[in-house]
Amino acid sequence: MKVFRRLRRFLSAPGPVDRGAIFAKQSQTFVACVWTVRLFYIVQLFFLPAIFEDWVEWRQVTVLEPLWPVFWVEAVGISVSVDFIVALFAIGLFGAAAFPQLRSFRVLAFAGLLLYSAFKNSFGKIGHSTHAWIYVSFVLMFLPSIRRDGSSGARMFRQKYLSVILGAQAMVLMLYSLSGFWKVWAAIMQTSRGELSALSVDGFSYLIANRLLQNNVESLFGPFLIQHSWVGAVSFLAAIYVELFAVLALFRHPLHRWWGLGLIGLHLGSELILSVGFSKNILLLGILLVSSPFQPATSDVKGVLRLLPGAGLLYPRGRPATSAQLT
Amino acid sequence: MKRYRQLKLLLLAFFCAYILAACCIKKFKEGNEIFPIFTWSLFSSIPARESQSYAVQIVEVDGRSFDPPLDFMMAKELLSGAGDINAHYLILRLGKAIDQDGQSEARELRRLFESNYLDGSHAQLKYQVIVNRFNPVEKWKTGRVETALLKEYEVPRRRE
Repeated sequence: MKVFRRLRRFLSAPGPVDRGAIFAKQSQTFVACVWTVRLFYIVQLFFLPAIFEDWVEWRQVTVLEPLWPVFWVEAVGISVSVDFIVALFAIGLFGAAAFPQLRSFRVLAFAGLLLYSAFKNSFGKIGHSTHAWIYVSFVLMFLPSIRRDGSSGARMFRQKYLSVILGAQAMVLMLYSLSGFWKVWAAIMQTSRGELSALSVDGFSYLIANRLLQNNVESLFGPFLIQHSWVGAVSFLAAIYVELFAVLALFRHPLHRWWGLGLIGLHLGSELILSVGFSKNILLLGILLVSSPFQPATSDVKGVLRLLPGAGLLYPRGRPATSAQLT
Repeated sequence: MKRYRQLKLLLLAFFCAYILAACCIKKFKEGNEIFPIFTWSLFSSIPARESQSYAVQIVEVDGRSFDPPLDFMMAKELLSGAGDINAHYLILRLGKAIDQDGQSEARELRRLFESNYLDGSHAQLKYQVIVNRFNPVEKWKTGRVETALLKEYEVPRRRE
């Protein structure tokens, strides 16, 4: 499809990119992808003890504001429904962790995660710590089934598998790009109305102060950034850059690891500054991006810097990055 | 090859549909989401220099009065649900509903709040929903805030 090829080239590094090296390693990348999928389900088993603690409390709940996936719980009985949801999730996860090649278990794991997350968020406020996991779990349902003899079969089969993994990465990176987009949009709107905005020197200071007051919490670096608004302003703009261009990193494989680490740094920063935790996303970024199966084994600093969004402006066009520079 | 193209198209369609849905939700839906589709507009807007927020404060528990009233979010020793971030956002919705005279919504939110965050271990509990107006940085530095009472409620002990 020429449209796909053109779109990919447009979003990739400036100038033509030698993609021969990537496809030459298709089999190797496929094996890495299979492990990525298994790891995705294994890591979720780590969440089960906390879920079991919730289970005990949830069986006592009498009033909730059920989200649409769990609209039926009050009619069936909350206690019974909770038992069913937790059991479904646990069985789906164990099955998918043990047999990730079986679509039935992947479907169960997705259904269980969706229902669990829906119930957890049926108390008047929706938290977003599991949303990205839900999206990835959904996409992974579309993985082609590995043959019963365990072989990967034809090149096209492996290519489909890699495409779904890319799709999962795309879903995660898209969330961050959306977040960056709305920040830019709000900055433009608020600035045009003469209001305080992300482009104001003390804009981030106000955001930090409001957040700390709202939750009645303290943070390690929040007070410093409130008092030194210039530092905060630069930090906020850096965060917007990392978020906004996240989806571009999808098309620039040598950036996967570094962008994943950058986004993890963003979450750590938000914990230290705003006291906002997103630890589950850190795990997901680690699995899908920092350990990206598409990441070249080695990369040189100059080659990676060339691939940064906007860095192409500093480099003359017509000098393509070669596979030697990319690997 | 055909199946491969279909798969890529399907993934691309899902990706685009999500973005479109997120934009529509941002435009037309208050609250910015229809679970599990979220706009991911987090900390996008900078709060105004003159901001407004809602809170719950505890006035009386089992005949014991608090003067000044106790902020619910800081009443962890008194109420097991205090300090829960979900309670905070529920209080914001409750305050807004009362402020905007949404009586049925306020009634439902009040029921949700009292059942899940005001534990039934007390025979009597009186609380107020208030609106706070403040400059965020100034309030953080000096504690200065203007408060107005929206509504006062009393909770009897739940029957066993």
